[in-house]
Formats: sequence, structure tokens, C-alpha cells
Amino acid sequence: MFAGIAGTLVGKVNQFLQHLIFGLGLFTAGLIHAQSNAQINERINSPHATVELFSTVAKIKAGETFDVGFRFQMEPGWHIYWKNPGDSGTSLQLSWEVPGALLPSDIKWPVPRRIPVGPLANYGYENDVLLPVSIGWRAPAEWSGEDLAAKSLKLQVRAEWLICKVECLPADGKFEIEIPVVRDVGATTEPSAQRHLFEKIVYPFGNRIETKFENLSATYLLSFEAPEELRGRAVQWDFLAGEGLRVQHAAEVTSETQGDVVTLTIAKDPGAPGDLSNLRGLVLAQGESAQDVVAFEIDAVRGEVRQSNHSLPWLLLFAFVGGLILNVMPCVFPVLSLKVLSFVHQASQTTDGARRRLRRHGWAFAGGVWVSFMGLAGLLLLLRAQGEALGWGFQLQSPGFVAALALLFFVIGLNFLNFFEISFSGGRLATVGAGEEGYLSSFLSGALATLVATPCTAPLMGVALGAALVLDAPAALLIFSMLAWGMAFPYVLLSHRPQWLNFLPRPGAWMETLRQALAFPVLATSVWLLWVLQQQAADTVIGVIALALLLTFWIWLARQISVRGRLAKFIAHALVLAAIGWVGQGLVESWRGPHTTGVAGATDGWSPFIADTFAEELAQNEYVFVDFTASWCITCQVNKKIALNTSVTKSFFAEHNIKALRADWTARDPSITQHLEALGRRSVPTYAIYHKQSRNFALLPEILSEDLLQSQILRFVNAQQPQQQTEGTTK
Amino acid sequence: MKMMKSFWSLSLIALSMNMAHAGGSKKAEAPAASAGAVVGQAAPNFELKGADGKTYSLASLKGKNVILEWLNHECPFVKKHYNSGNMQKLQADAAKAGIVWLSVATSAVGEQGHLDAPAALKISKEKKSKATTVLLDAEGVMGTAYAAKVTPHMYVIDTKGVLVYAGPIDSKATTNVADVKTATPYIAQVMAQLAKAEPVTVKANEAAYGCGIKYKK
Repeated sequence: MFAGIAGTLVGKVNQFLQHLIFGLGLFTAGLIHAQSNAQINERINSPHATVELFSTVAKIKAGETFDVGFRFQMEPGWHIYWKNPGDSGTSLQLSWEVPGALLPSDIKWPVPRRIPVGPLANYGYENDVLLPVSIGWRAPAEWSGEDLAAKSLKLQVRAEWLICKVECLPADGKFEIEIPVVRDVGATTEPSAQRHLFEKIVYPFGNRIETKFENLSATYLLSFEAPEELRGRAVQWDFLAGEGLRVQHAAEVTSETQGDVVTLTIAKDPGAPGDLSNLRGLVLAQGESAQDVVAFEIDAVRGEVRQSNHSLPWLLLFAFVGGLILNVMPCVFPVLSLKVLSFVHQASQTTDGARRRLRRHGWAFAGGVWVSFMGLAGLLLLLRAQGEALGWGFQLQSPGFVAALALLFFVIGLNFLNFFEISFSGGRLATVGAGEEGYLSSFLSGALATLVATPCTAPLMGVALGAALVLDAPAALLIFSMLAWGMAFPYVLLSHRPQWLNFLPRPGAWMETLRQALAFPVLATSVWLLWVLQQQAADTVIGVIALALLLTFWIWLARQISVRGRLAKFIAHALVLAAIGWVGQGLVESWRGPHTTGVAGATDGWSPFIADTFAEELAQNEYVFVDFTASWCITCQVNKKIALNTSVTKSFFAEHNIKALRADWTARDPSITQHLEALGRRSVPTYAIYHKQSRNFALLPEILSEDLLQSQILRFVNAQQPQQQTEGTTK
Repeated sequence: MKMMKSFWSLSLIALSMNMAHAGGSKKAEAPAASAGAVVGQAAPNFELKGADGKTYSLASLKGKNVILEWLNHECPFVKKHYNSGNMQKLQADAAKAGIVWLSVATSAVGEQGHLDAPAALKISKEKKSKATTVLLDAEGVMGTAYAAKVTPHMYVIDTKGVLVYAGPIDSKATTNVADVKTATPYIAQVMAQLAKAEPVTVKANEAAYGCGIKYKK
């Protein structure tokens, strides 16, 4: 019997023990479970930081917005990231599970810091930061029954973040916070013990400053008026890129202040897309102490940042006069003069019909010039919008275009020598005789004149063009238009007043002789262009000469068999065109790849300008003079001959310790284009003198003489002697 | 002669107008840093020893497509792609297509992710990497030439030695393995275009993401 009772007792004890163990097990499991499942106490220990979730309220009245926030207390040297982490890293990601009536906002990011990490840079937070989220409510009409009855709000969130010092550690946690809801009439929201932490958060100001930016080939220029409270104070400016903005985060943001206007230079990421409509990010103003930081959120639109020294009316005037001067440039003069000489005949005619026809020819020519200029300008602006580093004269940087131009001049020369005739509705390309010319002929002459004008940068064109390529498209096209009108003006004028040419002898054989004589300057231009081509792609010059020969042969062939069988004619043309095509294709292929350049390099006293080492040159010499030039720029060559390469200038440079550098822009070179832009110019010739200590620079005029060069340089040197500072503070 | 005269007289006028605007000192803008590898241009040359003991140079690889993958196995972003098998799959596909896949370890000696030849071989085996080899760039020469910033930073070079892609491996800059499936797979897309012998047009909207490369100081 005892065995029985004992047995039952043991059995019961067993049972009890089993339950106990089971219960203990559950309890322990529950404990462990509770700890790994980030708990009700909203605390989690992540590597190298303590992370807590707080709220601003201990009790909330239904319908009232409140904040919750993640407090990161990090070990020294560790950091987490802003919404744009910069070069590396990733920012805090949240996924919420909240009652249906609640609407958590995006993280309200406090002002971040720039955190350099070796050659990279991040934007983020160190030491102690609270990242808040606003919890709003939907309209009461949308609340569910549960929401209406709920006694408390349970918010659950899964957070993932990256914490880094040198290496990075991903961390995550699930947080939960429960806030009782008060519904009694007259009851109010009760603030939590941590509310004061939220009130200390420093946010960036939004919409306080109006900004605009300019998209250059390698940088963005951001400009704005300093807010009133910061004017006159010593402020260090910085810019933190917004989400998705591709800049070099580690590159220093330099600033320039003129009066109240601050301009920041931000280095672009080379992989950035060419076009940008809005520049977003934070502008930071740093005072003396590290704590003294104010941030402004900005959303900049495109605009003109660098004010050109001249207003638009002046620029238009410069453009017009520049166009006028083009007419006497060696490129244009032969073609144009022959067009003009055709008037000599017209002057003697008095019929209204003839007069009217002449005027119309003038307008047709002007139309041709204008359309060509617009086409070139439009193409240039389009390519710039794509992010190409170009300037005026860009077309001459491609060997293909130079070769085409050389062949064109060659053919024109042949035409002047009467080797062949080109008829457009009955007229000749550059006729000097009487003739019923079609208006199309005049139009095409205008286009031709523009084409051959491009190698010659006229003085004043440089200023107008530099400004045009900075301004927005309509203003830029207006400036190009004025260039076109300037160039067409003499011709249009003379077509209205042909009697002004009455002083010339009556039409006669002399006109034909003159025409043939002018063929030679034209052919000389062709030779000069071949020299340019030699600088760009030396091995292809022979190919172009061969092409010229083939063209000549083709033209001759066309003349010979114009009366013979059509089949023979067809075959002959086909053969020659095939030969031309074959040579042409070979040339184009070789121009695509890298080519051997005969760089117009170091001549006596001049060293080549290399963008990467320019800073070193400036560090080693008190003054540096840079000659931005190109083989295809005639003004440049003239200046070299008469002012730059002379022994007088050479000794002048030596006397004043001026290092002379020559920047060759004959072929496409984005690094040189960037330097030109930094000077506010986009064409050659450009002459700049730099001073080492102050880093000031000055631009010289585009037409130089030895005296002018010396006087301008001396003027600059003397201005540097008393160490004057430009107005405002600079970095 | 007449032409020269009018040229010079007009120039004098232009001269005087020019003098009005020339002068005026301004601060010189700091020239931009050199760009590193630019898509569409010849890729920078390199010559490095791989973990397999052979020397690899870009010149010797002409005629083959090359993919460069900057590597640091301790970086959570790199781990995301290796733990999910994504990187190994891309490497295997590349090997099948005859593309040379070079992982590049640019972490300096003593820094996180540094690999010497035995360590590289060991960890590649562990992670089942199908790359051709790991290039040992502890001096940071190749990383600097390519302006590589993070791990993983991806570059693709075509058979002519032209850089056709530079950027992230995919579009989601997170350490979450689940994001591999939903991100835009840029490298896979580039390999598809290379397989069809099409010009590579894939361009990432985002900058390359990952952990910063631990360059030699």
C-alpha cells in the first residue's frame, strides 16, 4: 500500500517537476526571446553605440501630432550617416508598423557634419544624435473602430543602419513603444521626460535663401545672398550635396564673397550626368567654434552666376562690331570681296527692278550668314548641355572638320581659277560678272562666308562669346545673332547703296584677273589648314592631299563627259566616288582613335601648359603668364609673331621673373577648357597673368603688341605690390 | 596692302575698347582634380601581381573584355553580394563568356580587408569566388589610377581597352541581402550587351556605393 501511495506521490512529484522544468524552460525561453526581440523598453545595444527610441509625449491626446526619435550615443570615432551618406555608407532605414490612424513622416534630419575619411568624405553624425520622426494622424473620419477605442498606441519599427569608424558594421533592431491615449474632455497631452532632448535638435533652415547655380564642365557654381544675420561676419561656407547629387564629396568647396553675394565652387563627379535642372543640398555656415554652425536647405535653379562685366546691350554692341571686323579677316576677305565686286556692275543700272533685286540679294546673303551662325551656336549650346567641355572654335578641334575645311578652300581656289563652275540656279559661286543669280546662290554664299570665318576670332568676339556661353539660351542666341548681323552688315549696306562703289573702275577684264588672283590667298588658307591638321593628326595629312587630288580628278571628269554616253558617265562617277569614299573612310577611322599630334610645344622661352602641374608652376614662380592658343586661331598666330615670341618680350619676361606657359587648345582638351572657364572665357586667344601669393589674375586684350603686353603686365604687377585684399572674405 | 591697313586700323579701335574691359583682378579658381578613369576613353593601364603569382597588365589583356571588382570581404556591402551568391554567379557567367574578372584588393597593409597572396587564395576559396584572380594593390596605385572609392566599385573594359562602365554593381545602396533581387543589375546588363557584341550603353544613375577603400595613408 505504501508503495502504491509512494508510487503515486513520486508520480505526482514527477509530474510537478516536469511541469516546473517545462515552465522554467518556457520562462527562460521567454526571457531570451524577449531580449533578442528588441524590447518594450525601446533600448538596444548595437555595436559601438547605444540606440534608444523615445517619444516627446508620455500620454497623447488623440489627433495630436507628436514626435518619436532614435537617439544614437556612439563611441568616439564612430559615426552614422545623413540622408545622403556621401562617398560610402548608407543611412538609417525605418519600416514602421503602426495603428492605421497614424502616419509616420520621413526622418527629420538634423544638421549633419562633413566627415572626411581618407580620400573620401561622408556626411553624418558623431557622438550623440537624436533622429526624430513626426507621427501625424489621419483625419478622424478615416479612423477605424479599433483606432477610436484604443487606449494606447503601440508603435513598432524595424530599424537598419550602418555604423562606421574606418570599417563599417551593419546593425538593426526592432523597437516598440507604447503610449497611452487620453480621451477625457479637457485632458491634455503629457510631455515625456525626454522632451527636452527633442527641443535641442538643430535643424537646417528651409527656404531661407534664394540660390541659383551654373553648370560648368567640371564644377557647379552656386551663388546666393548671405542672410542678413551672417553678413559682415567671418563665416566659412560649405556645401553638402543632397540625395542623388553627384559631386566629389571629398573635394574642398571654395567660396568667394563679393559684397553680400557668396559664390561656392563645387567639384562635380566626373560620372555625373551632363544636365541638371535643380541643385539641392545644404549650405553650411561655420562660425569660429565647431558648435557654431547654421545650415540652409537649398533648391537652386539654373541662372547666370558670374556676372559678365558688361550688360547685355554692351555685349550686343561688341558682338556686332566683332562681326564687322570679321569681314576684313584674311579668312573671309577673299570670298566676300568677290561678292561685293559683283555690285560694280549693278551700280550703273537704274531700273527699280534691278535695284530691288540687288537689295534682295543682300538680304539673302545676310540670311545665309544668320542661319549658319544660329546653326553653329545652337549646336554648341546643345553640346554644352550634354556636358561637353567646349568653347567657340570647337569645330576646329576635330581633325575631320579641319580637313573638310581645307578641302573646301581648295575647291574654292579651283573655282576662282576657273577650273570649273558651280551653278546655283544659273549663277556662279563667287561671281564677278553680270548674271542672273538666284537668291539661293547668295544665301549659300552667306553660309560659305560663315564657314570660312570660323578660324578667325575677331577681337571683341571673345568677350561676346564668353558671355554668350554663360547666359541662358535666348540671350546667347541673341548675341550670336548680332555677330551674324555685324558680319552681314557691310554687304547688306552696299546692296542698298551700290553707288558707293562708283569710285571703282568700270567692269572689265581686271575683275577676272582679280578673281584669279584672290584664288591664291584662298589656296594659302587651305595650306594653313593642312598645317593645323598636321598638329592634330600628322599621319593623315597625306590622306587629305590624296583626297584633294581625287576631288580634282572628279571635277575634271565631270566636265569631260558631260556630253558623252550616260552609262559611261555613271560608271566613271561611281568609280571616282568609290575611291573618294575609300580614302575618306580610312581617314575618318584614323581620326576616331588616338592620333599622333605634333604639339605646337615648347619654343624658345615658352613651356607647355599642363593643367595638372599648373598649381606647382604657380607655387614656384611669382608670376605666371599663360598664352591660350590654337593652331587654327589666326589672331593667335599673329600675336605670337609680333608680340609673344619676340626677343624683346623674352627678355621682358626674364627681367621680371615671369614664367611663360603656352596652353595648346588645337585639339580637344577638357582640362584647358576648364581653365578658360575659370577665367570667364571660352575661346582663344586668351592671355592671362597670374600672381602667386594673392592668386589674383588679369586678362590681357586679344590683340597684342610688345608695348601693350608690357604695359598691361606692369599694371598688374604694380597692383599686387601693396597687399590689397578684394572685398569680403574668401577661403 | 589695303586689306592690311583696314585690318590694323579696325584693330586699333577694337584695341581701345578691349583695354576698357581687360584688367580687374579676380581670384583664380582652383583647377579641378584630374578625373581618373573616364567612360568612353582608354582605361588607365595597370600592372600588378595577382594572388595566383602571375602579373596582369591591361596591355596584355587587350582583345578580352575585363571586369574589375574592388574587393574587401569584411565590408558589409561586399558581404551582401557574396553571401547571397550574386557576385559568384556574375563571376561564373563572366568566365563562361570569356570575360576576365579581376578582383582588386586595395586595402593597405594593416587596414581592414588587406590581402596578401596566401590570404587572398584562402578567402577566395572560402567564398567560392569564380574570379580569374585577386590583384594585390596594397600600395593603392591601381585604385588611385581608377579613382576607385568604395567596395564594391565596378569597372568594365572592352576588348579595345576602352572603359565602357564605371559605377555600382546594382541600384540599391544597402547591406540588405534581400535587395539584391529587386535592384537593377547593372553589371549583368553590361555583360548581356557585351555578349551580343553591342556597344555598352548601360549607365548607372547612382554613384558607386559601398565601404570606403582603405588606402595607404
